[in-house]
Amino acid sequence: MSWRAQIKRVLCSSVAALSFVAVAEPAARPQYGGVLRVELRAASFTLNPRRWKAGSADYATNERLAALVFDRLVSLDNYGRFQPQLSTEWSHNSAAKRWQFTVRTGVKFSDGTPLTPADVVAALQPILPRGLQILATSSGVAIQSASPVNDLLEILASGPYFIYRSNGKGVLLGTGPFVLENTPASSQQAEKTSSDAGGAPAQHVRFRFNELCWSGRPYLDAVDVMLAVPPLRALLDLQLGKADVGELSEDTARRAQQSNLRIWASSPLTLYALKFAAPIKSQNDRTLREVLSLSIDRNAMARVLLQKQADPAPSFLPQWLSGYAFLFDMESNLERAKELRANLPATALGTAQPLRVGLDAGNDLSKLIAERVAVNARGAGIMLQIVSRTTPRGAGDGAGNAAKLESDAQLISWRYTTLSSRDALESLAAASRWEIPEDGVPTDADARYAWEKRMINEKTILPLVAVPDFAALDLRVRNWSPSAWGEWRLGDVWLDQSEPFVAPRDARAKSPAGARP
Amino acid sequence: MNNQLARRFTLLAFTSTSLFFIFLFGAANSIVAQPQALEECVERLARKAIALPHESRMSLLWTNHTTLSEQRAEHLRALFEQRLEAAGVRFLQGEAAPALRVSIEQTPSQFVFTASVPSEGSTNVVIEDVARSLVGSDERPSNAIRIEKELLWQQEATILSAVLPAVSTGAEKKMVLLTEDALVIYGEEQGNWKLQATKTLPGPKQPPRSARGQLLVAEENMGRVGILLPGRRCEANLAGDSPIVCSGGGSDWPAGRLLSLPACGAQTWWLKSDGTDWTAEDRLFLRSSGAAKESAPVAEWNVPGAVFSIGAGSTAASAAVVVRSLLTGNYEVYRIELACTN
Repeated sequence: MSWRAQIKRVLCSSVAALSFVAVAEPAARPQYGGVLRVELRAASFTLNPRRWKAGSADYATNERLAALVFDRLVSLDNYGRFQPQLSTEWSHNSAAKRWQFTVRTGVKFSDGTPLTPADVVAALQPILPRGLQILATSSGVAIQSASPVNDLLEILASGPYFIYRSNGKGVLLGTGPFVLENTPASSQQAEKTSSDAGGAPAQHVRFRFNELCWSGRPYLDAVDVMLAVPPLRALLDLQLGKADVGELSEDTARRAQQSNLRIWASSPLTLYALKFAAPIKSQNDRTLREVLSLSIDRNAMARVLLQKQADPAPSFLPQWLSGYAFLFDMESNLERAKELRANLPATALGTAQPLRVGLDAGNDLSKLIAERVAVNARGAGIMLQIVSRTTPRGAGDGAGNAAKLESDAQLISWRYTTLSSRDALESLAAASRWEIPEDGVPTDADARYAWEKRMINEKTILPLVAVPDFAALDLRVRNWSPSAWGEWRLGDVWLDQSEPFVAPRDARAKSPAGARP
Repeated sequence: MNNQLARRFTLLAFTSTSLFFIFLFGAANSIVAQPQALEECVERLARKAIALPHESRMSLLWTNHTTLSEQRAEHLRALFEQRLEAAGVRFLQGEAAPALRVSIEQTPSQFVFTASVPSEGSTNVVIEDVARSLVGSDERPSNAIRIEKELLWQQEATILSAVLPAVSTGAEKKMVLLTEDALVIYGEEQGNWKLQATKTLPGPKQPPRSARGQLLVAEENMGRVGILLPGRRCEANLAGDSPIVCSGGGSDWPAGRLLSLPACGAQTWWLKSDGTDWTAEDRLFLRSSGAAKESAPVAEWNVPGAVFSIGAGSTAASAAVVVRSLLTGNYEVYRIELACTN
């Protein structure tokens, strides 16, 4: 009997003749098909990483949607291991000043053109951190710097470092699992949104599967994204079966926990802090800031005000990113604050006239936190006046620079966008216009900790709390394996279609075309 | 040096020296890796701490906030203590002495060691970090089960299927792995698995996201294996240089394996898994072959990851199971053996 016949027999004959190789019903496996309906808070987005503003609130939306279309050279898995993406191998010299990356062969952009090292150079050169140079080599790219870059993999595995190519008409093409589809109804808007124009916000965009994706076709046929959906509306849509994934706020996440939904929370990704408009100018100024800092009860803010949906922030970098944030002291000391306050002259800011704290009127959480800061400050004898102004979403850079408020300080939110703690500190420092050392923020953990400590003591920014991202998911969403640092990884998600879905009558009428498998 | 290769080599070395941990009826063993990266990191931390002004008598408060096992953390603590004692520091028990606090923290890519060293009323801090990818993770203790399981192999790269071909008494044991693009054959030498051959799968490479495959062995010819791939069937000789031969055809994927153990009676059992997605822990269970689907399993093991495939073991009472560990992300091959409990 031929071997082929034996194989056939093994597969098809009875159990007794199978010699313990069994053929039975297939095990549960990922299912192809279906459209994932996602609702996001952001009103607009741009896929062009060069237009992303460090620390801004919309950064997460831009990055999540870009991850549908583009790939990076490397990624970091949930076990702390760097995984090959568009680069299959990498190495560096002993000083970590020159890195070589082999570019994966056989990869095609969604229009069928092959990926080349030149594409990688073109995508990365404009956005690489200062001091880094990239050039194409025979099999890939080399990145070099005058100083060691030990954290290059962390940098490249996060933030804006996607690989893309412009098709010459302003549309960016990627190699990722999905392609931005221009539906007839919104094609013009989608085109603008995907391109450099970044103009009119699109309310609904669709990403269809990319059959040329080097890592395989995604399980989903498409991802439908609704933009500008308030968290409460997203929660209701999830409960009504009108959405599969919805972005929530910290208060709606608490409500969602009481419904039949899965809730996801990232590590704390957004820092809320009080940023002073100017550096310390006088001893009184220093004392005022010291009093304010000592009066703030960050623990109560995180535990009570935000009902444990946030972490107190004693430092610029969160514990999950630096590993040493716990070394910073964040205990409030009202008695000491009052003692220092007694030394302030009656004419000082905060005593004779209130310290004006500006905030973005569109950010409810900022207002809530600012009000608590005012209450804490009052306990130490400092008057705060909250000045609320409307800033267009996405207009700011996260450090409050775009909000030209006439205030003494600003309640800012800053989103962490990199896996490198050095890079994160440097971004915050650059946005805050701090003086950065010639060689940049130190690479060495000891020196970096010392530098951060010194900047904390400068009291230009008082960190308050750090808040995670929240999302709720329908139970049909499978293989949901996001990273703690906010990646959703929708390319691996599939929809369990074994249970018939019964959408409410109105939901079926209103859902986008083809939204239901 | 190529980082990726180095890491894989480290993992391979670790794997080959730390196999054969038997989990039996609730015995909670863990895979203990001894990568030098962690020890070197602690050595550096100790050197830095010694270089700082410090008390000659201190207590040591050692805290581990990472996925490293307490056993491993304790090993590192002992190393740190040893290095400082060699430099003249005397560690005391109790609160009377100022505390040298060492904390092990974890970031997405690193383990971070901080030491707060007391000196005359003040404290100085030193920090060292090490890439998590250079350090093997620890395995969670397993739950009590009524089947024997033995971890044979683990690696970062994808394993689609594994089989353990039967061999005659005294002959070298073999393990055959199916990866995304090759058939990899190992032989057991002095307790370690040694690579013997790699045979590349012909035809188009499967995309990583949906790669799938299953190895089959036929009792009549244990020197050959069959390979089920999406839309293809292949066959390969384990010995020699002959290439893998494939032909088209549909694939009926086995969803389990029928096991028997005459010493326990004439009964046969299905070994199957629940088949969860990649993000959830799976369950491997044993059910009488004639029993209804709804009937309770006679034995089960809550697998610390997703079961990718169940392949043939070297005997009628054994199977080779591929699991993707949720804890480490590694692909692991287990030998599952029926155990007679009477």
